[in-house]
Amino acid sequence: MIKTVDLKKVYRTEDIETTALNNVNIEIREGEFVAIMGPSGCGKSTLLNILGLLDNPSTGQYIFNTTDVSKYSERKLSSLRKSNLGFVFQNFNLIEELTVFENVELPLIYSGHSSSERKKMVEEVLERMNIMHRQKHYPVQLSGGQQQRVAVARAVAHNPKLILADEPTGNLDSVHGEEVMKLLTALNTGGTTIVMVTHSLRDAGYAHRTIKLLDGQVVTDSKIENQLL
Amino acid sequence: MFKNYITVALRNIARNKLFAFLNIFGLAIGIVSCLLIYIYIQDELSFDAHHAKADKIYRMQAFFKFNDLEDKFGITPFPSGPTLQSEYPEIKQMARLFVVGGQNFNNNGKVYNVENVYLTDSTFFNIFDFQFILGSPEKALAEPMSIVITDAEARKIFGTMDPLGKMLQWNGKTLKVTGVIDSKKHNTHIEMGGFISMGSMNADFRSQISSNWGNNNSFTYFVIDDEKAAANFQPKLDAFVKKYMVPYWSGFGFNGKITMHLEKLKDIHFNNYLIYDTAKKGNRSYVTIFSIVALLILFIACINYVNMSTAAATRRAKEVGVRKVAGASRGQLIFQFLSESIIITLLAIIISLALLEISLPLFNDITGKEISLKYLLQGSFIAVLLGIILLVGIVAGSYPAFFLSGFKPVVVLKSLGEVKGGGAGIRKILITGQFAIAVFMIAGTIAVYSQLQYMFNKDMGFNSQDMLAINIPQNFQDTLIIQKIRTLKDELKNEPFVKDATFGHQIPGKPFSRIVYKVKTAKGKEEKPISTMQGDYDYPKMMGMELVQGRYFNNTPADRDYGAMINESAAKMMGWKEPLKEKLYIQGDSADLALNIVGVVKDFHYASLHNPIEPLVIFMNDGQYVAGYMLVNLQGGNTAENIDKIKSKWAQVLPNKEFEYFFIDDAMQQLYTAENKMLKVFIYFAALTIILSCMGIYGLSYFITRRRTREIGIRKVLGAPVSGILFLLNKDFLWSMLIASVLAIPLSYWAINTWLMDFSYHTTLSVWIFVAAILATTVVAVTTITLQALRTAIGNPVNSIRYE
Repeated sequence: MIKTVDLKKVYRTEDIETTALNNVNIEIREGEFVAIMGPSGCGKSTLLNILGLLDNPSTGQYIFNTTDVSKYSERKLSSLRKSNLGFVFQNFNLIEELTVFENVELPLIYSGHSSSERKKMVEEVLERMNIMHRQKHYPVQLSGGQQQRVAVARAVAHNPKLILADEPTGNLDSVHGEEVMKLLTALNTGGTTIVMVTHSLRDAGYAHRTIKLLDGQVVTDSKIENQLL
Repeated sequence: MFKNYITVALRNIARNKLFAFLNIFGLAIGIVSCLLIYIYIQDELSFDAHHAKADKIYRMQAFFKFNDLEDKFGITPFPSGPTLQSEYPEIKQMARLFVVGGQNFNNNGKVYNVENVYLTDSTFFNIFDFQFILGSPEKALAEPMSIVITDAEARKIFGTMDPLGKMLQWNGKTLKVTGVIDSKKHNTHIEMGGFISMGSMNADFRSQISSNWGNNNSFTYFVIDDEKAAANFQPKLDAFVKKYMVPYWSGFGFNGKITMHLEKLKDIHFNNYLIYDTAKKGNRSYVTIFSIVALLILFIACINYVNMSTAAATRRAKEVGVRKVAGASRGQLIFQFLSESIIITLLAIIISLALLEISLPLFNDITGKEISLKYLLQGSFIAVLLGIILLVGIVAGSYPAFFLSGFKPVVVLKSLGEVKGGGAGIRKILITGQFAIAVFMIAGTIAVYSQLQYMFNKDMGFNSQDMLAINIPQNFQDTLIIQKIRTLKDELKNEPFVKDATFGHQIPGKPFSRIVYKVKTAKGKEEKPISTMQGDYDYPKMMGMELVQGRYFNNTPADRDYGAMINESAAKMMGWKEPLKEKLYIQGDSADLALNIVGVVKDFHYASLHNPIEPLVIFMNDGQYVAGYMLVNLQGGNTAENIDKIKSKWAQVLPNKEFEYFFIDDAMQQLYTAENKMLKVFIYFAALTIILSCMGIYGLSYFITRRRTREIGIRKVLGAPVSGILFLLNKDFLWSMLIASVLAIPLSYWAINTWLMDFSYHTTLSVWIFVAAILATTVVAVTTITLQALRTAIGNPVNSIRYE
């Protein structure tokens, strides 16, 4: 489904040049649940952003569904994002001015679903995430776990093929964290590919495969290790 | 999708009430300024536009050029209209207004004064379309002894009675009211009181003026259907002048040049160059000044919107990120933010309409108009509103829209919603511009104010204090009136509250006419047109004119017939070293009449300070004609009571004549009506500029202070004093202020200087005007910022640090 070839990301300021990613080569197949781990500043989030089409690599290729998108413009990236990707963030990133229902509805608006379709789809996903009773509430009226459930609901509302989760349990206590991980696992079981950045070994345990990064390079990939074993 | 935008926009307004208030109210102020100016311009341009033949109607002008002097009249000799019409077939219709001015009419023994009365050709109401409330325009003036009056005059004279067919006594004649017109219905240059049919004129008088080519006395209007014919009419007018006017004038030894011109009806309102014209004139420079100022105010309001939107961007950054992640394209986000600014503009428009209703009376007071909200119902007004919504929405909304939509989701989503405020450069430029406009407006206001003070306080060189001028009715048929009024003056002189009293034909503050004199020079007798003042022998002395040579007039036949006084400028113009030995000549019946110069008075300002003091000749004229004014120098105090006493004396002597008076001081002040209006406009608009700038600075410093809360906390923990924090937050604004001052000073210096150059006598352009303007703006800005910053600066630093 996705593949990177010699992916490199360099940040430049006036005085210094920081290499965030250095020759990253990974391939993720449809239906996989991948955890990306590593210490702070190792490039996890940078990699996730590139995989999520939120950022372009400096050099190298990023092949998304057989097409190299590494040089795509923001306009093309945004149209790819809205049909294929869903995002879950550590800090939930819900829009405070919108209700639960309206937040979940947002990607459906941009992907051009009709109002009646949207209603049906949002209700379905809210039901699935067990947050239907909160649909008219604003984010500030919800607990952290509930907010993250809404964020997950928003990420999956338009049935994306790939979900990218950046520390999805980072701001949650262990009970709510586990709840979110079970949700993601269920989605993966339903066929959705999941790529998750995490610090937590326990969360990583839900994944089929763990990629460890250090200083912008892949140091271990459990899949390759398994193959090697 | 649009519903989602509206929802977010409205919820954003509800959440950020301060931001919304500053933006919406600020824009409303800017918009209402523009709406008022639009209404004003619309009203100015509507003058005489409603007549069906508006594009085909022309007025005749007569220009008299003499050396370097050219007097341009909006009125022409009585016979010129019919003569031209009979000779040139392209003139389809012609009508004259023979000006008789204010007249007394008697209704059942009660006297009413009606201003702006004309003897009018019967065709007048066929050429011009005025709203007849009663009577018919075709027939109203067909018969002799008919009069058409305005609705206001009809109410004044007849009250609630039906005026049609009622009789009015006028100069021994009985006039029948045949029509009543609505004078307020349409804007027109013609000042309306009463229109008496031309057939009511005395037959003797009529035949006398019908061959008089020397007396400009009638507004003459033509209808010329063919535009080309009108454009090519000038040579015909030249031929006409040569055939009729020149022979008449050369009979008086006039060697100047006479020309006649056609003036388009629609231009009349804005043509200000004529010395005899209707008083209600438009002013193109007013239109320009008002428009510029209104646009500046709207611009400031837009600046506020841009500044606050971009400064508040951190709040919206996360939303932008999330929307982008959810698949929004940049175009969709730009569209969203533009719709948001249009919604805000829409709300601002609603408020501005309320403000419009509130401010209209004030605006009418400043501009001297009587505009009502009926304009709201017009299609063009709605179109202007829509235009403003789009223009302001897009102008103010586009920078924030492009700025906000440009956020990278990676950046804004990772940081916990806090983004480094971008657009700071643009904000600084805009704030600097705003400060510059404020300094400019304040400096302008102070300058106009100080020039007015200068003019009001300047020693005019004569005695204008407590000097009452009483209008004397001009009636060539009642010769006894002269004696009656003279007796009245002598009685008044004996009153204890009267210092002195005399008669004057011309008085300071009112227009003067020029008389052509002859002066002996090396080349022979040379003709010089000089402004001339006439009055009783004691007039110059009573007016406090200061003698520099010779003496005042004596009440002797010699001085009456052969004496003249001049001012210093006249002596200088003539090049006279010893003026008392010189003579002035005027055209007599057979030979020139020599006038002896008996005295020279110090130059005094008998006209406005716009112009340098012109040469002046004063001579005695105390009998043959009725003077224009009786001048009464009152003892100070009890003014109203004393005027009442004079009024009752007047009523005893002249029961059929209305008592009309004014003070010379007031007449002099009226010369500066335009400047007074301009001062008012500047004061109000400068105040609006300051209020808007304050709102902008308040909003901006609010966001800046919020963003720097943590920094402030850390600085305080490290020992920074409150004053240090306040300085820190003021510093950037002070820099902008400094740059703004550097920009504004030369610009306002130039503008003020240009404006002052219009006055021959003006105040000196003091550096303090600019210092005061800069100080005022700075004090207001620093106070606003400090009030805002103080809360954070004196707060517990732990709270500030915990902020994030």
